[in-house]
Amino acid sequence: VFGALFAEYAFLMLLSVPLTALGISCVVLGVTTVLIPGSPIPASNIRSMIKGSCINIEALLEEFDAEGRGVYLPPRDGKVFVYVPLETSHSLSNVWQAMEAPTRVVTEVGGEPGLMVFLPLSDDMLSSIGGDMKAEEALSDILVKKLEFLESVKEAESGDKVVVRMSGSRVGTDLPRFKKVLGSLPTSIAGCVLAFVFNKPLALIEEEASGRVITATFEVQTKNG
Amino acid sequence: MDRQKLYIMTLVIVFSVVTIGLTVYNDQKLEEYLSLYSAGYFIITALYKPRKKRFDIAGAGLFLVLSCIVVIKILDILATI
Repeated sequence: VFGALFAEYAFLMLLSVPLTALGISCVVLGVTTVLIPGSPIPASNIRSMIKGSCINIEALLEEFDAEGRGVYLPPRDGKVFVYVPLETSHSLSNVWQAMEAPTRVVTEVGGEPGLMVFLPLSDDMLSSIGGDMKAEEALSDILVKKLEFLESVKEAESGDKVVVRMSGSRVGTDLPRFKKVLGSLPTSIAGCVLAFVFNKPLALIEEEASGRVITATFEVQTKNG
Repeated sequence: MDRQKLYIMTLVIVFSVVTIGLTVYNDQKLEEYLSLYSAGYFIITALYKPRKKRFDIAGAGLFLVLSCIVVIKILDILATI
């Protein structure tokens, strides 16, 4: 904009060819800078890589016949992971004990076997979430801006329930066990982001998908819950 | 420095060199500046092959300007014959 105004002013008022040319060069550089994407790696490639890495998680969940819904645990050493109880009748009171459990894939919490699943969301990406960011801002930053998984995301809190409405999903996971235990890929990433922001464990209660809109409900776990 | 930033930096350097060079040479023809900007832009774009979010408007604009300059020059030459 500056370049265009400057070129016009230099051409009409100053009658200076070099300054007009300088203004035009500013326009060209400005337009080129706007057209160059911020990230050198296309978001579609990042999406494909994340989707591909979920196959390992699917294989792991299949191997251990995991049936119970995962609980997203708050960060430990900057990493968010998911506790997946292997017993379907597990108690959620074990969740706080799970936070103290050794960080390994197969673990035992309160005498019940479980898995610690590391989702393909790097700690660099999570640490980019600012301390003063609200949950919806953080979700939008990661899922919409950085990963381009969604077109928009809305978050609402009611008591200990957190409802996340994700619109315009660009990723579909045909991994049934992953979906059953951790939710769809955007939901699982949303769970990680929320656990990071709230710094509390979150259990995925339910997930509904209608076309490209996904609505996920999480429950924030309190120490007595 | 990543490829995209390097591309922009190179364009800035080339445009600066062209502007300063022709100004020092005391050139008063806008079409000469534009022709050299276009040439520089297309050469650097071909070398770096940057990924762009959408259609390259800057490139299209420069190509159009360059085409107009060439057509005007050809008509000038034909008129003098």
